[in-house]
Order: sequence, then C-alpha cells, then structure tokens
Amino acid sequence: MTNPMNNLLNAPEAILVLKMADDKLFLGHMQSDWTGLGPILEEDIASSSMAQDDLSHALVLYEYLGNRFGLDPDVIAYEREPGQYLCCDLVTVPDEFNWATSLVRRWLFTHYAAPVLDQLALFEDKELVERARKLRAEEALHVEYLDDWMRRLGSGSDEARDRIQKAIDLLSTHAGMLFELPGRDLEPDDSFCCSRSELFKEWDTNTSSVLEQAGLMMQVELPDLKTIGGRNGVHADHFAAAHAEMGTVRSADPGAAW
Amino acid sequence: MSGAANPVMNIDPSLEDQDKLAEFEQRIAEGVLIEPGDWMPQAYRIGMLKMAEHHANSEIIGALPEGEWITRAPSLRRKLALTAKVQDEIGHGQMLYRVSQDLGKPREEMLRDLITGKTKYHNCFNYPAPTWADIAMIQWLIDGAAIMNQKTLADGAFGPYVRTMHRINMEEAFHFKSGEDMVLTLMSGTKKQKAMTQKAFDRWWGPSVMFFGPHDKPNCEQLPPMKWRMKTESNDSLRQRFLNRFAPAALDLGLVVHVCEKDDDGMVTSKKVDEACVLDDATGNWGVTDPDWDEFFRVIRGNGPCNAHRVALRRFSYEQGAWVRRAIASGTSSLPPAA
Amino acid sequence: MSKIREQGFTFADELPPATDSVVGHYVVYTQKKEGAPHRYAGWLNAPDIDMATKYACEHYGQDESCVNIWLHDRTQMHETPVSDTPLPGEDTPDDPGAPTWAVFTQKRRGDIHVEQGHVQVADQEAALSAAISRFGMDMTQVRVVPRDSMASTEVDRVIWRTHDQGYRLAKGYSKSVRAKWDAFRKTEDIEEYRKDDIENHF
Repeated sequence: MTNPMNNLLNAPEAILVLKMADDKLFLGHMQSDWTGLGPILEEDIASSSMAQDDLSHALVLYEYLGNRFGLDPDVIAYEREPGQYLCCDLVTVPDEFNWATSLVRRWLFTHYAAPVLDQLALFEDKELVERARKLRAEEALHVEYLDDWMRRLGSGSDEARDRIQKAIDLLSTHAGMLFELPGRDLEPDDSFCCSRSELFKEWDTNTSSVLEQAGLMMQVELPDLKTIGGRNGVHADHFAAAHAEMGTVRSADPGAAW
Repeated sequence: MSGAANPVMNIDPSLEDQDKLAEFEQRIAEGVLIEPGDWMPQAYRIGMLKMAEHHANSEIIGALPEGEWITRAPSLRRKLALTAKVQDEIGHGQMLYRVSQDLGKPREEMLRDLITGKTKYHNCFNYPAPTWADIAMIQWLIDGAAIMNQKTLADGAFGPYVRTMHRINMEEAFHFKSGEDMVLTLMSGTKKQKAMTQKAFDRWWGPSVMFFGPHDKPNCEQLPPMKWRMKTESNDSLRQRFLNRFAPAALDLGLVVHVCEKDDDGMVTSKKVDEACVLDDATGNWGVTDPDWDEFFRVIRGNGPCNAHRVALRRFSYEQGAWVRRAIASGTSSLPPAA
Repeated sequence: MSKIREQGFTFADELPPATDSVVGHYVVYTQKKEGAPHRYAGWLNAPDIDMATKYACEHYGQDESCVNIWLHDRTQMHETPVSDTPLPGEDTPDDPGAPTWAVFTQKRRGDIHVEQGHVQVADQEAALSAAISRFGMDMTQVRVVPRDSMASTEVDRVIWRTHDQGYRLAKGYSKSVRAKWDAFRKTEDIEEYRKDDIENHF
C-alpha cells in the first residue's frame, strides 16, 4: 500500500466520504449495465441518466479525496484491494436482469444517500460541503423518480406488486448494513461520527411512508454494532466479482493511460 | 448512428397520381421541405417510414456491442462517456421511431418486428467487439461514417426526419470526438495498446468501407430515393469521402491498412497490406481494395457473427420488461401526489 | 461482459402481448435559460403527463442547459396547415375571463416550433385566429395549446446537472483531441481532416 492511500484509509473523516463514493460507484456500475436493455425506451434513458449521476457523484468525491491525499481518482476507484472498499453489499447484489430488483435496490439506497449527503454538507471542509450540496440537489431527483415508480408499481397490478414485494424481501436483508459504521479499527472523534440510529430512523420513516402508499411491506432492523460487513471491507463474493469485472481492461495493462 | 445501406425500396412511381407526383417532384427539385399534411406519394410515405424505422432499429441494436463494455471501461471518464453514448443511441432510436409512428406504425409494433427478425438494421452492428479497442474503433470509424452520412440526410426533404437528423448530429459529434480521443490515446500508449488497436482496426476497417452500402446503380440520382431527396449523396461518393478522410489519418497514426479474411465469428484469420490503399495524386482520391460484398449480403441476410445473439438479447430485454409495460398500462395514471 | 449479456436465450414461439395502445404521446418544449422562449424538443410515449415530465427531463432536458420544460398531450394542440403564403387570421382582444392559449410558431419549413406568447380568448378557433393575427406574420405554421392542458416543471427543479458534463459533450474533447493529433500529423493534414467535423453540437 502506498502512503497516500494508507493515509486516506486511516482518516476517519475521509472514510465517511469514501463509503459514499464506493456505494455510488458500484450502484452506478450495476445500473449503467442496463443501458440499452431497459423495459421502455424512455425509462431506459431516464435510469441511465441516474446511473451516470451516481458514477459522476462517485467521481466528484474521489476527486475531492484525490486532491486531499495526492491520489489519482481512478486509482482510488479501481486499484484498491477488495477489502479496502467500503461499500455496502446491497449495491452489488446481482439483479439477475430483474428490473424490480434494480428498482428496489436504487430506491433503498437513495433514501439512505439523501440524509447522508445532508450530513456531509455539515462538515467543516468548505470544498466538501460545496460538493455535497450539489450532489444532494441531484439526489432529490432520484428520490422523486424512484418513489414514483414504487407507488405506481405497488398500487398497480397484482403482478407488479408481487414482483416488487419479492424484490423488497430479497434486498431488505441487506439494507440494514447500509448503516454499518466504517473504520471500526480507528478511534473516530465524536465530531466525525454521524448518529447512526437517527439516520436509520429517518430512512425508515421515509421508506415506510412510500411503502404504505404503495401497499407494500418491509421489515428492516438496525444491525447491532458488532455485525461486520462491507463497510469494514468484508464483502460477499458478488462484490469481488463486480470489482474484478470493473478492472478487467485496466489491470491487463497496468499503468497505461486510457 | 447510421441510416446508410437503406433497405431495398420497391418504388413504383407509375402507381401514383401523375399530376400530383410531378408537382411533388418539382417541389423537391426546388429544395422545398415536405411537412406532414403535404401531399406525398404513397411510395414516399412508406419509403420514409421504412427508412426511419431501419435507422431507429440500427440505433437500438447498435447500442448492444458497445453496451457490452460499460462494466469494463478502464477509467471513470470513459465509463461515463460510454454509458452516455449508449444512452444517446436509445434516445436516437426513440426519436427516429417517432418519425415512423407519425407515418402510421405504432412503436411497439416496430420493436416487435425488430426482435422477431421481420425488419432489419445496419449490418455493421453484426460484428463482434472483442476488445476495448473495438469500442474506440466503432466510435471513430463507424460513428465517423455515420456522421458523414447523416450530414447528407439532414439535407433531405422530409421535415420530421430532417429535424431529427439535426438533433441526432449534435450528439453524434460527441460520439465521434470521444472515439477519436480514445484512438489517439491508445496509439500514443503502450505496445500492448497499439497492438490491440491495430487488431481492432483490422476488424472494423472493412465494415466501415462497406458502411455506405454497395456500389450505386448507374442512374441512381435519377430515381428514388435520391430523386426524392430521401438520400442526397450516392454510396460511392460518400465512400470516397470517407476514404479520403480516414485512410491518411489511420496511416499517420501508425496503423496499417490491411485486406483481411475473417472466419464465421468475425475474427481476422489472415491479412495482407492493402496495396490499393494509396493516394492517387491526379485525382486526390485514396484507393482501397473492393470489399467482400458477398460477406456484406450474407451478414444482412442474418448470417453475420452476432446477428442472432444481439437480436435475441434485445428480445430477451423486451420480454423481461413486459410486466413493467403492463403495470404502467393498467391504469395507474391518476395517482394522487405524494403526501 | 456482464453475465446477462453473455448468456444464450430460448424463447416461446409467441411474444407476450403488446401494450402500446394505452400509451399517450406528449410534446416537449425546453427552455435553455430564464427568459428564453420555450422551443420544441420532441415528443415521447408515456402513461400520463407526470411520467412524461420526468422522462422529458432526463431525455430532452439533458442535451444542453435547460431550466424549464413544458409538455402537453399531443391531441391538445391545434395548428394551421403548413403554408407558404400568409395565413388568414383575425384578432380578438384578450378576455381576462377566458382560457389562456400558449402560441408556438414555425418560421420556415423544417424549423422547430418556438414559443411566441399567448392569447386569452374563448375557444380554439378564436385562439388560432388571434394567434395568427398577432404572431403569424412571416410564419409557416401557427400552433395553439390550452394552457391548462400543459404541464411545467417547477421553478427551481434541477434539470441540467451541476456536475461536470464535459464527458458527454463534443466540446469536452476538442482540446484533448487537437493536442493529441499534433503529435501525429502536420497541421494542414489536421485541418483538412477536421473539415468533416460537425460544427454544430451541444
């Protein structure tokens, strides 16, 4: 590990930014693969727009970290060991080309991302605050779009509600781990820590409201602090597979410019 | 992209009202743009419908070879750019289908005809894209050819199609520049990158030369589609302009122009330097060995390396998404606003 | 490539039934910046105007700077025929109690329609007539749409993104491409080659 990377991975404030960047990178990665294969042309275009948002947001945050620690944003994005990524495994659960799964995954995530971006906008670093605010304004579009689809599908046909409910049942087992705290080996200063249970409560309230309107159900508990997962670099195989695929071309010719 | 190698049009002008036809052809010759609501020959109406439909189909299928590489793009900027490009292609498909929808064919019917093989699309999208450099070559050569072609289509006579061409070309400019940027980067890069790029060039040079379609019939300008300005430049003229632009550019990049033999999977099995690819100082034109037109027609008929798979993938996405379309159609329209 | 794209497929003989017939068509106009006229961007398929609005923002709203979008069902517009001679129209004064109609005109054959203003009169015929009279001079076609059938995006809605869009615009590559070509070719060859570039782009 090079020193700058080490510095990044051991800075409590930086890893809070890194986890959002990693979440968005992989969520964007999974969703971008749908481009050209969506169920409706206009919907394909809209969801691809949002996948590009997530990838761009990740880039904005990697650039911020790159500036602070003297690293190339692409190196941060592509060249860590799998155990050094802090994304929640929710974002790389394979969707098996099931559009309901891709929709619910994004919906569960956007309701988490919005308040987290609000929290990042309260940090002292002005550069980070400015970036977080811009990202937050665009995240609002995702919340609106995805909420609308959840309501339409939930209160639409039995077939649609059934498929969405199944996707919720599959993904809700991962959703709690969105709230896992990264950096358990560090001793974060209280001022850097974001209140986990408050965040969960906000997420739970907002998602529950939409679920009720849509006639859908979800039960997610906040996992206890001892449960380790993606945010501490302990990932499922599907994450490693996504990460490997992402780096295929790059790793075949290391150091090359693309 | 594309719009070239137009579907064969069986146009019989003798079936039209001859007075109105003469007036129509006069207006076309004067450069007047035809708008919906104007009288037009039935053959023109059907011809424009099929032309826009074929073009739209090409965008929809064209999105697939490049889509294969989104998950493996080697930098965030390239990943974003490739996603945006493929997204643009779906957008172009949507815009082109609109032209045909207005001429009377529902969009879903067009998608269904595409995925069941009843209608066709540009044959260049039936070739494999086995490496990252293929993406660079597609965007440089194929989008480059498409731009040359689409600029002439924007000079056509049918208002709705011309408006669509203008809008598409504004995005096509990004596609091409992105491709150029990638090819330039690769050819200034490592030995491995240059070798990969040469191989990709070998695969895509032939399809690009054939992009504009077979050699023109001798009197093509006096007959529809050119007579009706559905098409405003001949295949051979466009091809020559393509060669004059891209042959010297490729050579200056350090690429070698080969005549290639390919197997049934679209992979090059043998190649030799194209001795004909030289500048004729007298005419100012670059030469090229005439491509294998048998291969072209074979691929158009559905026997190209990737025809079956790509159409199948598109059909799969259509069938997998049917429940979403059903759900939206089932009357969720007047939803109350969120509380 | 991703697993789904690689796999082989088998299909039933029949496709699932089509659903197109219940879809609406919505016309979209985009506004580049505050105070600029709304301009025709295209139309799209959607189940209702709310979804159409979201789709429009992500399709036509992403081409270039865009601060506001208008939409209406395609069946709501009333147009003159395209005419190469002056259109006949009679003006009537605006009536504050009457419905408002947005007016768009096409200047020449082949042009897109552009917002000109509005008229406030009792019915569609009067609206078209008044619109022709007030805005139709030198225009090829005049279109009126009842304002209350139109949807509009909210004033502060983000449409065109604030993060760097250079990756998806031709101008995001021009400098880089030019600099890289310089390493390979003589200037006059680059200029000759560039003649076929598209000059007009987002």
